[in-house]
Amino acid sequence: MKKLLALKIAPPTSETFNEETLKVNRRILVVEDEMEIQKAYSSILSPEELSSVVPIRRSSRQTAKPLTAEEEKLPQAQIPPYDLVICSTAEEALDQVKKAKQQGCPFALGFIDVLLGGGMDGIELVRRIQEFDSEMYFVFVTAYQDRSVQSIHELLGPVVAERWDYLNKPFSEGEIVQKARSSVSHWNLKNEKTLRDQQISEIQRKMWEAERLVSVATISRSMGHEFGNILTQIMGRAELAKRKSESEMRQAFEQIMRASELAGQVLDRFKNLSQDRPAGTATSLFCLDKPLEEALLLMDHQLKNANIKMTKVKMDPALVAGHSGSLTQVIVNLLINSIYAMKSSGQIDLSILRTEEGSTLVVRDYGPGIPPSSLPEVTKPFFTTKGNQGTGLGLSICKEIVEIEHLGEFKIENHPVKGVVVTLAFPPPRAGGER
Amino acid sequence: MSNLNMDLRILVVDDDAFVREILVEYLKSFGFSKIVDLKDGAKAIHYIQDLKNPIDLIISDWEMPQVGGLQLLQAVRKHPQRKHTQFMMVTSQRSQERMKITRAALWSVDAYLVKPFRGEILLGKIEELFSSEVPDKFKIRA
Repeated sequence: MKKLLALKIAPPTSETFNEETLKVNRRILVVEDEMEIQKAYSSILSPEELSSVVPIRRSSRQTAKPLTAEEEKLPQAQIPPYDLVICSTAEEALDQVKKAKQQGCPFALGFIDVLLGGGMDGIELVRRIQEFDSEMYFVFVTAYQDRSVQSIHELLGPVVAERWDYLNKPFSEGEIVQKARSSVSHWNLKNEKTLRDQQISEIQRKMWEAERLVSVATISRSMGHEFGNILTQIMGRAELAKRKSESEMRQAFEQIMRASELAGQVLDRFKNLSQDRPAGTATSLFCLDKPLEEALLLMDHQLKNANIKMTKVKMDPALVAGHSGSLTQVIVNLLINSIYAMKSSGQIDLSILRTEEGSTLVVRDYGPGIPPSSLPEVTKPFFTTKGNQGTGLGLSICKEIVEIEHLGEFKIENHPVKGVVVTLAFPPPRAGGER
Repeated sequence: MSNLNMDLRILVVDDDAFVREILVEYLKSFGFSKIVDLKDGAKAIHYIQDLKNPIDLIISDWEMPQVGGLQLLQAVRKHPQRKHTQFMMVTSQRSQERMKITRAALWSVDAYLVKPFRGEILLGKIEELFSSEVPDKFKIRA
Protein backbone atom coordinates (compact mmCIF):
# COMPACT_ATOMS: atom_id res chain seq x y z
CA MET A 1 0.00 0.00 0.00
CA LYS A 2 2.75 2.39 0.97
CA LYS A 3 4.70 1.56 -2.15
CA LEU A 4 1.77 2.35 -4.39
CA LEU A 5 1.30 5.69 -2.74
CA ALA A 6 4.94 6.55 -3.08
CA LEU A 7 4.83 5.85 -6.80
CA LYS A 8 1.95 8.22 -7.29
CA ILE A 9 3.82 11.18 -5.90
CA ALA A 10 4.80 13.48 -8.71
CA PRO A 11 8.37 14.73 -9.03
CA PRO A 12 9.06 18.40 -8.36
CA THR A 13 7.00 20.35 -10.80
CA SER A 14 9.09 23.38 -11.74
CA GLU A 15 10.65 21.62 -14.73
CA THR A 16 7.41 20.16 -15.91
CA PHE A 17 5.89 23.59 -15.71
CA ASN A 18 8.54 25.17 -17.90
CA GLU A 19 8.34 22.43 -20.49
CA GLU A 20 4.63 22.78 -20.68
CA THR A 21 4.42 26.53 -20.89
CA LEU A 22 7.47 27.01 -23.10
CA LYS A 23 6.90 24.14 -25.50
CA VAL A 24 8.39 25.09 -28.86
CA ASN A 25 5.79 25.77 -31.53
CA ARG A 26 6.82 24.38 -34.92
CA ARG A 27 3.46 24.64 -36.67
CA ILE A 28 3.48 26.07 -40.16
CA LEU A 29 0.52 26.70 -42.44
CA VAL A 30 0.93 26.60 -46.21
CA VAL A 31 -1.75 28.15 -48.42
CA GLU A 32 -1.05 27.18 -52.00
CA ASP A 33 -3.34 26.02 -54.76
CA GLU A 34 -0.77 24.31 -56.98
CA MET A 35 -0.18 20.64 -56.21
CA GLU A 36 3.46 20.66 -57.36
CA ILE A 37 4.39 23.54 -55.11
CA GLN A 38 2.55 21.95 -52.17
CA LYS A 39 4.75 18.88 -52.63
CA ALA A 40 7.85 21.07 -52.71
CA TYR A 41 6.89 22.62 -49.34
CA SER A 42 6.38 19.16 -47.86
CA SER A 43 9.72 17.84 -48.99
CA ILE A 44 11.55 20.90 -47.72
CA LEU A 45 9.84 21.50 -44.40
CA SER A 46 8.54 18.10 -43.42
CA PRO A 47 10.58 15.45 -45.22
CA GLU A 48 9.82 11.79 -44.54
CA GLU A 49 13.28 11.25 -43.11
CA LEU A 50 14.96 13.75 -40.85
CA SER A 51 17.15 15.99 -42.89
CA SER A 52 20.54 16.90 -41.58
CA VAL A 53 22.67 19.95 -41.92
CA VAL A 54 26.40 19.59 -42.41
CA PRO A 55 28.07 21.65 -39.71
CA ILE A 56 29.36 24.88 -41.17
CA ARG A 57 33.08 25.47 -40.85
CA ARG A 58 34.22 28.64 -39.18
CA SER A 59 35.65 30.11 -42.37
CA SER A 60 33.51 29.95 -45.45
CA ARG A 61 36.60 29.85 -47.65
CA GLN A 62 37.74 26.66 -46.10
CA THR A 63 36.13 23.88 -48.02
CA ALA A 64 34.54 21.24 -45.93
CA LYS A 65 36.72 18.19 -45.80
CA PRO A 66 35.03 14.89 -46.54
CA LEU A 67 33.88 13.34 -43.27
CA THR A 68 35.94 10.52 -41.90
CA ALA A 69 34.24 7.32 -40.90
CA GLU A 70 34.64 8.39 -37.27
CA GLU A 71 33.00 11.76 -37.84
CA GLU A 72 30.16 10.23 -39.80
CA LYS A 73 29.00 8.41 -36.67
CA LEU A 74 28.82 11.63 -34.62
CA PRO A 75 25.37 13.07 -34.23
CA GLN A 76 24.92 16.01 -36.54
CA ALA A 77 22.81 19.12 -36.14
CA GLN A 78 19.42 17.97 -37.31
CA ILE A 79 16.46 20.13 -38.21
CA PRO A 80 13.42 18.55 -36.72
CA PRO A 81 10.60 18.53 -39.27
CA TYR A 82 7.99 21.26 -38.99
CA ASP A 83 4.41 20.46 -38.21
CA LEU A 84 2.93 21.31 -41.58
CA VAL A 85 -0.70 21.95 -42.57
CA ILE A 86 -1.36 22.57 -46.25
CA CYS A 87 -4.52 24.23 -47.58
CA SER A 88 -5.54 24.95 -51.13
CA THR A 89 -7.94 27.82 -50.48
CA ALA A 90 -8.02 30.86 -48.25
CA GLU A 91 -11.38 29.81 -46.74
CA GLU A 92 -10.01 26.44 -45.70
CA ALA A 93 -6.91 28.15 -44.27
CA LEU A 94 -9.02 30.59 -42.25
CA ASP A 95 -10.85 27.65 -40.69
CA GLN A 96 -7.60 25.91 -39.85
CA VAL A 97 -6.12 28.98 -38.17
CA LYS A 98 -9.31 29.55 -36.20
CA LYS A 99 -9.44 25.93 -35.08
CA ALA A 100 -5.75 25.88 -34.17
CA LYS A 101 -6.10 29.02 -32.08
CA GLN A 102 -9.17 27.67 -30.27
CA GLN A 103 -7.39 24.40 -29.50
CA GLY A 104 -4.43 26.26 -28.06
CA CYS A 105 -1.97 25.11 -30.72
CA PRO A 106 -1.71 28.19 -32.99
CA PHE A 107 0.45 28.41 -36.08
CA ALA A 108 3.78 30.20 -35.79
CA LEU A 109 4.03 30.96 -39.49
CA GLY A 110 2.07 30.86 -42.72
CA PHE A 111 3.51 30.66 -46.25
CA ILE A 112 0.76 32.38 -48.22
CA ASP A 113 0.36 32.41 -51.95
CA VAL A 114 -0.98 35.83 -52.86
CA LEU A 115 -3.10 34.78 -55.84
CA LEU A 116 -5.42 31.95 -54.91
CA GLY A 117 -8.06 30.23 -56.97
CA GLY A 118 -11.05 31.00 -54.74
CA GLY A 119 -12.70 34.26 -53.80
CA MET A 120 -10.33 35.45 -51.11
CA ASP A 121 -6.73 36.27 -51.91
CA GLY A 122 -3.73 35.79 -49.63
CA ILE A 123 -3.63 39.36 -48.37
CA GLU A 124 -7.32 39.41 -47.47
CA LEU A 125 -6.77 36.09 -45.68
CA VAL A 126 -4.00 37.58 -43.53
CA ARG A 127 -6.16 40.60 -42.79
CA ARG A 128 -9.00 38.34 -41.65
CA ILE A 129 -6.67 36.20 -39.52
CA GLN A 130 -5.76 39.29 -37.46
CA GLU A 131 -9.24 39.23 -35.96
CA PHE A 132 -8.42 36.20 -33.86
CA ASP A 133 -4.66 35.64 -34.11
CA SER A 134 -2.36 38.61 -33.82
CA GLU A 135 0.86 36.70 -33.17
CA MET A 136 1.22 34.63 -36.33
CA TYR A 137 3.99 35.46 -38.85
CA PHE A 138 3.51 35.40 -42.64
CA VAL A 139 5.60 35.02 -45.74
CA PHE A 140 3.83 36.03 -48.97
CA VAL A 141 4.90 33.91 -51.88
CA THR A 142 4.03 35.16 -55.30
CA ALA A 143 4.85 34.16 -58.87
CA TYR A 144 4.40 37.55 -60.42
CA GLN A 145 5.19 40.99 -59.16
CA ASP A 146 1.47 41.49 -58.92
CA ARG A 147 1.73 43.24 -55.60
CA SER A 148 4.40 45.66 -54.60
CA VAL A 149 5.74 45.58 -51.03
CA GLN A 150 4.23 49.04 -50.58
CA SER A 151 0.77 47.96 -51.66
CA ILE A 152 0.84 44.97 -49.29
CA HIS A 153 1.89 47.24 -46.48
CA GLU A 154 -0.90 49.66 -47.28
CA LEU A 155 -3.46 46.86 -47.33
CA LEU A 156 -2.34 45.27 -44.08
CA GLY A 157 -1.39 48.35 -42.11
CA PRO A 158 1.09 48.87 -39.28
CA VAL A 159 -0.35 46.20 -36.97
CA VAL A 160 0.97 43.34 -39.11
CA ALA A 161 3.98 45.26 -40.46
CA GLU A 162 6.50 43.54 -38.20
CA ARG A 163 5.13 40.08 -38.93
CA TRP A 164 5.20 39.68 -42.68
CA ASP A 165 7.85 39.08 -45.29
CA TYR A 166 7.76 38.00 -48.92
CA LEU A 167 9.40 35.63 -51.39
CA ASN A 168 9.27 35.45 -55.17
CA LYS A 169 8.51 32.26 -57.02
CA PRO A 170 10.37 30.20 -57.98
CA PHE A 171 11.87 29.85 -54.52
CA SER A 172 14.88 27.83 -53.52
CA GLU A 173 14.95 25.26 -50.73
CA GLY A 174 17.38 27.48 -48.81
CA GLU A 175 15.06 30.49 -48.93
CA ILE A 176 12.13 28.53 -47.56
CA VAL A 177 14.20 26.93 -44.78
CA GLN A 178 15.66 30.30 -43.84
CA LYS A 179 12.30 32.08 -43.68
CA ALA A 180 10.78 29.18 -41.74
CA ARG A 181 13.59 29.13 -39.19
CA SER A 182 13.68 32.85 -38.57
CA SER A 183 9.91 33.37 -38.32
CA VAL A 184 9.34 30.30 -36.15
CA SER A 185 12.12 31.35 -33.81
CA HIS A 186 10.73 34.88 -33.64
CA TRP A 187 7.29 33.55 -32.77
CA ASN A 188 8.72 31.36 -30.02
CA LEU A 189 10.91 34.08 -28.54
CA LYS A 190 8.00 36.46 -28.42
CA ASN A 191 5.76 33.83 -26.89
CA GLU A 192 8.36 33.03 -24.26
CA LYS A 193 8.67 36.70 -23.40
CA THR A 194 4.89 37.10 -23.09
CA LEU A 195 4.71 34.11 -20.76
CA ARG A 196 7.60 35.39 -18.65
CA ASP A 197 5.95 38.82 -18.41
CA GLN A 198 2.71 37.21 -17.32
CA GLN A 199 4.53 35.20 -14.67
CA ILE A 200 6.36 38.29 -13.44
CA SER A 201 3.23 40.38 -13.19
CA GLU A 202 1.54 37.54 -11.34
CA ILE A 203 4.45 37.40 -8.89
CA GLN A 204 4.32 41.17 -8.49
CA ARG A 205 0.63 41.07 -7.78
CA LYS A 206 1.19 38.42 -5.10
CA MET A 207 4.00 40.45 -3.55
CA TRP A 208 1.78 43.51 -3.39
CA GLU A 209 -0.86 41.48 -1.65
CA ALA A 210 1.79 40.23 0.75
CA GLU A 211 2.94 43.77 1.52
CA ARG A 212 -0.60 44.89 2.27
CA LEU A 213 -0.97 41.90 4.53
CA VAL A 214 2.24 42.85 6.32
CA SER A 215 0.87 46.24 7.31
CA VAL A 216 -2.41 44.64 8.29
CA ALA A 217 -0.46 42.08 10.34
CA THR A 218 1.49 44.79 12.13
CA ILE A 219 -1.71 46.52 13.07
CA SER A 220 -3.54 43.37 14.05
CA ARG A 221 -0.70 42.48 16.41
CA SER A 222 -1.19 45.68 18.33
CA MET A 223 -4.96 45.14 18.16
CA GLY A 224 -4.47 41.67 19.59
CA HIS A 225 -2.62 43.15 22.51
CA GLU A 226 -5.27 45.80 23.12
CA PHE A 227 -8.07 43.26 22.92
CA GLY A 228 -6.27 40.95 25.30
CA ASN A 229 -6.03 43.73 27.84
CA ILE A 230 -9.62 44.85 27.42
CA LEU A 231 -10.97 41.32 27.69
CA THR A 232 -8.84 40.68 30.76
CA GLN A 233 -10.44 43.70 32.30
CA ILE A 234 -13.97 42.66 31.35
CA MET A 235 -13.57 39.09 32.56
CA GLY A 236 -11.69 40.09 35.67
CA ARG A 237 -14.19 42.75 36.72
CA ALA A 238 -17.10 40.37 36.20
CA GLU A 239 -15.53 37.49 38.04
CA LEU A 240 -14.23 39.54 40.93
CA ALA A 241 -17.54 41.39 41.27
CA LYS A 242 -19.46 38.15 41.84
CA ARG A 243 -18.28 38.08 45.43
CA LYS A 244 -18.81 41.74 46.09
CA SER A 245 -21.54 43.96 47.49
CA GLU A 246 -24.30 45.22 45.26
CA SER A 247 -22.90 48.74 44.96
CA GLU A 248 -19.46 47.43 44.12
CA MET A 249 -21.07 45.18 41.53
CA ARG A 250 -22.79 48.16 39.93
CA GLN A 251 -19.45 49.88 39.74
CA ALA A 252 -17.92 46.82 38.08
CA PHE A 253 -20.75 46.77 35.53
CA GLU A 254 -20.00 50.37 34.66
CA GLN A 255 -16.32 49.54 34.22
CA ILE A 256 -17.23 46.59 32.01
CA MET A 257 -19.43 48.83 29.86
CA ARG A 258 -16.59 51.30 29.41
CA ALA A 259 -14.11 48.56 28.53
CA SER A 260 -16.58 47.19 25.96
CA GLU A 261 -16.99 50.61 24.41
CA LEU A 262 -13.23 50.88 24.14
CA ALA A 263 -13.15 47.51 22.40
CA GLY A 264 -15.71 48.85 19.92
CA GLN A 265 -13.49 51.84 19.17
CA VAL A 266 -10.49 49.60 18.57
CA LEU A 267 -12.59 47.58 16.16
CA ASP A 268 -13.77 50.71 14.32
CA ARG A 269 -10.21 51.75 13.60
CA PHE A 270 -9.47 48.44 12.00
CA LYS A 271 -12.69 48.55 10.00
CA ASN A 272 -11.85 52.00 8.64
CA LEU A 273 -8.51 50.80 7.43
CA SER A 274 -9.84 47.88 5.47
CA GLN A 275 -12.72 49.87 4.02
CA ASP A 276 -12.74 52.25 1.04
CA ARG A 277 -9.61 50.44 -0.03
CA PRO A 278 -10.18 49.47 -3.65
CA ALA A 279 -8.95 52.08 -6.06
CA GLY A 280 -11.52 53.09 -8.59
CA THR A 281 -14.27 53.50 -6.05
CA ALA A 282 -15.68 56.98 -5.73
CA THR A 283 -13.40 59.49 -4.09
CA SER A 284 -14.44 61.70 -1.23
CA LEU A 285 -13.33 64.98 0.29
CA PHE A 286 -11.66 64.77 3.66
CA CYS A 287 -9.38 66.74 5.93
CA LEU A 288 -5.79 65.60 5.68
CA ASP A 289 -5.59 65.21 9.44
CA LYS A 290 -8.20 62.44 9.32
CA PRO A 291 -5.93 59.72 7.85
CA LEU A 292 -3.08 61.06 9.99
CA GLU A 293 -5.03 60.74 13.24
CA GLU A 294 -6.26 57.29 12.24
CA ALA A 295 -2.72 56.13 11.50
CA LEU A 296 -1.52 57.48 14.85
CA LEU A 297 -4.28 55.65 16.68
CA LEU A 298 -3.49 52.42 14.85
CA MET A 299 0.22 52.72 15.54
CA ASP A 300 -0.16 54.11 19.06
CA HIS A 301 0.91 50.93 20.71
CA GLN A 302 3.93 50.33 18.46
CA LEU A 303 5.06 53.93 18.81
CA LYS A 304 4.84 53.78 22.58
CA ASN A 305 6.60 50.42 22.61
CA ALA A 306 9.46 51.83 20.58
CA ASN A 307 9.52 54.86 22.88
CA ILE A 308 9.01 57.32 20.05
CA LYS A 309 7.96 60.87 20.70
CA MET A 310 5.43 62.27 18.24
CA THR A 311 5.52 66.01 17.62
CA LYS A 312 2.89 67.86 15.61
CA VAL A 313 4.83 70.81 14.26
CA LYS A 314 2.08 72.54 12.30
CA MET A 315 -1.43 71.39 11.49
CA ASP A 316 -3.02 73.57 8.81
CA PRO A 317 -6.56 72.65 7.87
CA ALA A 318 -6.33 71.10 4.39
CA LEU A 319 -8.85 69.31 2.19
CA VAL A 320 -7.86 66.45 -0.08
CA ALA A 321 -9.92 64.45 -2.56
CA GLY A 322 -9.31 60.73 -2.65
CA HIS A 323 -9.38 57.75 -0.31
CA SER A 324 -8.73 58.50 3.31
CA GLY A 325 -8.24 54.80 4.11
CA SER A 326 -5.50 54.48 1.49
CA LEU A 327 -3.65 57.44 2.93
CA THR A 328 -3.95 55.96 6.41
CA GLN A 329 -2.16 52.95 5.04
CA VAL A 330 0.55 55.16 3.51
CA ILE A 331 1.14 56.94 6.82
CA VAL A 332 1.14 53.65 8.74
CA ASN A 333 3.80 52.39 6.33
CA LEU A 334 5.92 55.49 6.84
CA LEU A 335 5.63 55.18 10.62
CA ILE A 336 6.59 51.48 10.47
CA ASN A 337 9.68 52.43 8.44
CA SER A 338 10.66 55.17 10.87
CA ILE A 339 10.21 52.92 13.88
CA TYR A 340 12.33 50.30 12.15
CA ALA A 341 15.03 52.87 11.32
CA MET A 342 15.20 54.35 14.80
CA LYS A 343 15.19 50.96 16.58
CA SER A 344 14.33 52.05 20.13
CA SER A 345 13.50 55.60 21.03
CA GLY A 346 13.48 58.63 18.80
CA GLN A 347 11.25 61.34 17.49
CA ILE A 348 8.89 61.80 14.55
CA ASP A 349 7.75 65.27 13.47
CA LEU A 350 4.45 65.63 11.63
CA SER A 351 3.12 68.65 9.76
CA ILE A 352 0.24 69.44 7.46
CA LEU A 353 0.89 72.59 5.44
CA ARG A 354 -1.41 74.44 3.11
CA THR A 355 0.48 75.68 0.07
CA GLU A 356 -0.43 77.59 -3.07
CA GLU A 357 -0.38 74.36 -5.06
CA GLY A 358 -2.55 72.48 -2.58
CA SER A 359 -1.40 70.82 0.63
CA THR A 360 1.46 68.73 1.93
CA LEU A 361 1.87 66.22 4.69
CA VAL A 362 5.42 65.98 6.01
CA VAL A 363 6.71 63.09 8.09
CA ARG A 364 10.22 63.49 9.42
CA ASP A 365 12.12 61.05 11.59
CA TYR A 366 15.41 61.38 13.45
CA GLY A 367 16.87 58.05 12.41
CA PRO A 368 20.14 57.39 10.61
CA GLY A 369 18.70 58.47 7.24
CA ILE A 370 19.05 56.65 3.93
CA PRO A 371 22.47 56.09 2.32
CA PRO A 372 22.59 58.51 -0.66
CA SER A 373 23.28 55.61 -3.02
CA SER A 374 20.04 53.89 -1.99
CA LEU A 375 17.91 57.01 -2.10
CA PRO A 376 16.84 56.70 -5.75
CA GLU A 377 16.08 53.00 -5.18
CA VAL A 378 13.83 53.12 -2.11
CA THR A 379 10.57 53.69 -3.96
CA LYS A 380 11.31 51.05 -6.56
CA PRO A 381 9.50 47.75 -6.15
CA PHE A 382 11.47 44.98 -4.40
CA PHE A 383 13.95 47.33 -2.74
CA THR A 384 14.28 46.40 0.91
CA THR A 385 16.77 46.79 3.72
CA LYS A 386 14.77 44.57 6.00
CA GLY A 387 16.02 41.28 4.57
CA ASN A 388 13.39 38.60 4.90
CA GLN A 389 11.18 40.86 6.98
CA GLY A 390 10.29 43.12 4.06
CA THR A 391 9.02 42.55 0.57
CA GLY A 392 10.45 45.86 -0.63
CA LEU A 393 7.05 47.03 -1.81
CA GLY A 394 5.99 49.32 1.02
CA LEU A 395 7.27 52.60 -0.38
CA SER A 396 6.50 51.74 -3.98
CA ILE A 397 2.88 51.17 -3.01
CA CYS A 398 2.87 54.41 -0.98
CA LYS A 399 4.16 56.29 -3.99
CA GLU A 400 1.51 54.73 -6.17
CA ILE A 401 -1.28 55.55 -3.73
CA VAL A 402 -0.17 59.18 -3.51
CA GLU A 403 0.66 59.73 -7.15
CA ILE A 404 -1.88 57.60 -8.98
CA GLU A 405 -4.84 57.52 -6.59
CA HIS A 406 -4.45 61.13 -5.45
CA LEU A 407 -2.60 62.76 -8.36
CA GLY A 408 -0.09 64.00 -5.82
CA GLU A 409 3.64 63.76 -5.42
CA PHE A 410 5.64 61.45 -3.19
CA LYS A 411 9.07 62.69 -2.18
CA ILE A 412 11.58 61.04 0.12
CA GLU A 413 14.90 62.62 1.04
CA ASN A 414 17.45 62.89 3.80
CA HIS A 415 17.11 65.79 6.19
CA PRO A 416 20.24 68.00 5.98
CA VAL A 417 20.82 67.49 9.68
CA LYS A 418 19.44 64.09 10.63
CA GLY A 419 16.86 61.55 9.58
CA VAL A 420 14.49 61.15 6.66
CA VAL A 421 11.84 63.55 5.39
CA VAL A 422 8.89 62.20 3.43
CA THR A 423 6.69 64.79 1.76
CA LEU A 424 3.29 63.92 0.35
CA ALA A 425 2.02 66.77 -1.81
CA PHE A 426 -1.62 66.90 -2.85
CA PRO A 427 -3.32 69.10 -5.43
CA PRO A 428 -6.25 71.24 -4.25
CA PRO A 429 -9.51 69.33 -4.59
CA ARG A 430 -11.69 70.37 -7.50
CA ALA A 431 -15.22 71.50 -6.94
CA GLY A 432 -17.41 68.64 -5.80
CA GLY A 433 -14.44 66.52 -4.89
CA GLU A 434 -14.50 64.67 -8.20
CA ARG A 435 -11.32 64.03 -10.06
CA MET B 1 -8.96 26.66 49.23
CA SER B 2 -5.43 25.48 48.75
CA ASN B 3 -2.36 24.67 50.74
CA LEU B 4 -0.49 27.63 49.25
CA ASN B 5 1.71 29.74 51.43
CA MET B 6 -0.10 33.07 51.56
CA ASP B 7 3.09 34.82 52.52
CA LEU B 8 4.49 34.44 49.02
CA ARG B 9 5.95 37.73 47.84
CA ILE B 10 4.71 38.54 44.37
CA LEU B 11 5.90 41.15 41.89
CA VAL B 12 3.34 42.12 39.21
CA VAL B 13 4.62 43.97 36.12
CA ASP B 14 2.24 45.29 33.43
CA ASP B 15 2.08 48.60 31.58
CA ASP B 16 -1.72 48.52 31.39
CA ALA B 17 -3.08 49.99 34.62
CA PHE B 18 -6.39 48.11 34.39
CA VAL B 19 -4.77 44.74 33.80
CA ARG B 20 -2.38 45.39 36.67
CA GLU B 21 -5.31 46.28 38.88
CA ILE B 22 -7.19 43.10 37.92
CA LEU B 23 -4.12 40.92 38.53
CA VAL B 24 -3.55 42.44 41.96
CA GLU B 25 -7.22 42.13 42.85
CA TYR B 26 -7.26 38.46 41.82
CA LEU B 27 -4.16 37.76 43.88
CA LYS B 28 -5.69 39.47 46.91
CA SER B 29 -8.90 37.50 46.43
CA PHE B 30 -6.84 34.30 46.58
CA GLY B 31 -5.48 35.43 49.94
CA PHE B 32 -2.08 36.85 49.01
CA SER B 33 -1.15 40.14 50.62
CA LYS B 34 2.51 40.73 49.87
CA ILE B 35 2.15 42.13 46.39
CA VAL B 36 4.17 44.82 44.65
CA ASP B 37 3.06 46.11 41.24
CA LEU B 38 5.16 48.03 38.76
CA LYS B 39 4.19 49.55 35.43
CA ASP B 40 7.24 48.80 33.34
CA GLY B 41 10.12 46.43 32.78
CA ALA B 42 12.81 49.01 33.48
CA LYS B 43 11.39 49.70 36.94
CA ALA B 44 11.14 45.96 37.52
CA ILE B 45 14.79 45.37 36.59
CA HIS B 46 15.76 48.14 38.96
CA TYR B 47 13.60 46.55 41.66
CA ILE B 48 15.13 43.09 41.37
CA GLN B 49 18.67 44.50 41.62
CA ASP B 50 17.96 45.58 45.18
CA LEU B 51 18.38 42.42 47.22
CA LYS B 52 16.43 43.93 50.09
CA ASN B 53 13.30 43.34 48.04
CA PRO B 54 12.15 39.79 48.65
CA ILE B 55 10.49 38.13 45.64
CA ASP B 56 9.15 34.60 45.31
CA LEU B 57 7.15 35.02 42.12
CA ILE B 58 7.24 37.48 39.22
CA ILE B 59 4.14 37.83 37.03
CA SER B 60 5.03 39.94 34.00
CA ASP B 61 3.40 41.05 30.76
CA TRP B 62 5.30 40.10 27.60
CA GLU B 63 4.76 43.30 25.70
CA MET B 64 5.73 46.52 27.42
CA PRO B 65 7.35 49.71 26.17
CA GLN B 66 11.15 49.76 26.18
CA VAL B 67 11.91 46.85 28.49
CA GLY B 68 9.58 43.96 27.70
CA GLY B 69 8.81 40.77 29.59
CA LEU B 70 11.44 38.71 27.82
CA GLN B 71 14.17 41.19 28.73
CA LEU B 72 13.01 41.16 32.32
CA LEU B 73 13.08 37.35 32.32
CA GLN B 74 16.60 37.41 30.91
CA ALA B 75 17.72 39.88 33.57
CA VAL B 76 16.27 37.65 36.28
CA ARG B 77 17.92 34.50 34.94
CA LYS B 78 21.29 36.25 34.62
CA HIS B 79 21.12 37.58 38.15
CA PRO B 80 23.12 35.32 40.49
CA GLN B 81 20.75 35.70 43.46
CA ARG B 82 17.49 35.91 41.51
CA LYS B 83 17.95 33.30 38.85
CA HIS B 84 15.75 30.70 40.55
CA THR B 85 12.85 33.09 41.10
CA GLN B 86 9.58 31.72 39.70
CA PHE B 87 8.54 33.63 36.60
CA MET B 88 5.08 33.69 35.00
CA MET B 89 4.78 35.33 31.57
CA VAL B 90 1.48 36.94 30.56
CA THR B 91 0.59 37.64 26.95
CA SER B 92 -2.39 38.23 24.72
CA GLN B 93 -1.10 37.57 21.23
CA ARG B 94 -2.30 34.12 20.48
CA SER B 95 -0.96 34.07 16.95
CA GLN B 96 2.59 34.45 18.06
CA GLU B 97 2.32 32.26 21.08
CA ARG B 98 4.42 29.47 19.70
CA MET B 99 7.34 31.79 19.06
CA LYS B 100 6.96 33.35 22.47
CA ILE B 101 6.68 30.08 24.36
CA THR B 102 9.80 28.84 22.60
CA ARG B 103 11.76 31.98 23.31
CA ALA B 104 10.57 32.18 26.89
CA ALA B 105 11.34 28.49 27.40
CA LEU B 106 14.90 29.14 26.28
CA TRP B 107 15.17 31.39 29.29
CA SER B 108 13.44 28.91 31.55
CA VAL B 109 10.13 30.59 32.06
CA ASP B 110 8.16 28.73 34.75
CA ALA B 111 4.60 29.37 33.61
CA TYR B 112 2.71 30.98 30.80
CA LEU B 113 -0.64 32.78 31.03
CA VAL B 114 -2.69 33.92 28.05
CA LYS B 115 -4.99 36.94 28.29
CA PRO B 116 -7.90 36.94 28.86
CA PHE B 117 -8.02 34.36 31.63
CA ARG B 118 -10.23 33.21 34.48
CA GLY B 119 -9.10 33.61 38.08
CA GLU B 120 -8.98 29.85 38.58
CA ILE B 121 -6.45 29.52 35.75
CA LEU B 122 -4.16 32.05 37.38
CA LEU B 123 -4.54 30.35 40.75
CA GLY B 124 -3.99 26.92 39.20
CA LYS B 125 -0.72 28.05 37.65
CA ILE B 126 0.53 29.49 40.93
CA GLU B 127 -0.42 26.27 42.75
CA GLU B 128 1.46 24.29 40.13
CA LEU B 129 4.56 26.37 40.71
CA PHE B 130 4.55 26.20 44.47
CA SER B 131 2.92 22.93 45.40
CA SER B 132 5.54 20.37 46.36
CA GLU B 133 3.33 17.58 44.99
CA VAL B 134 4.08 18.57 41.43
CA PRO B 135 7.28 16.89 40.33
CA ASP B 136 9.85 19.16 38.77
CA LYS B 137 9.63 17.46 35.41
CA PHE B 138 6.17 18.85 34.80
CA LYS B 139 7.38 22.38 35.08
CA ILE B 140 8.40 24.19 31.94
CA ARG B 141 12.13 24.26 32.23
CA ALA B 142 14.43 24.38 29.26
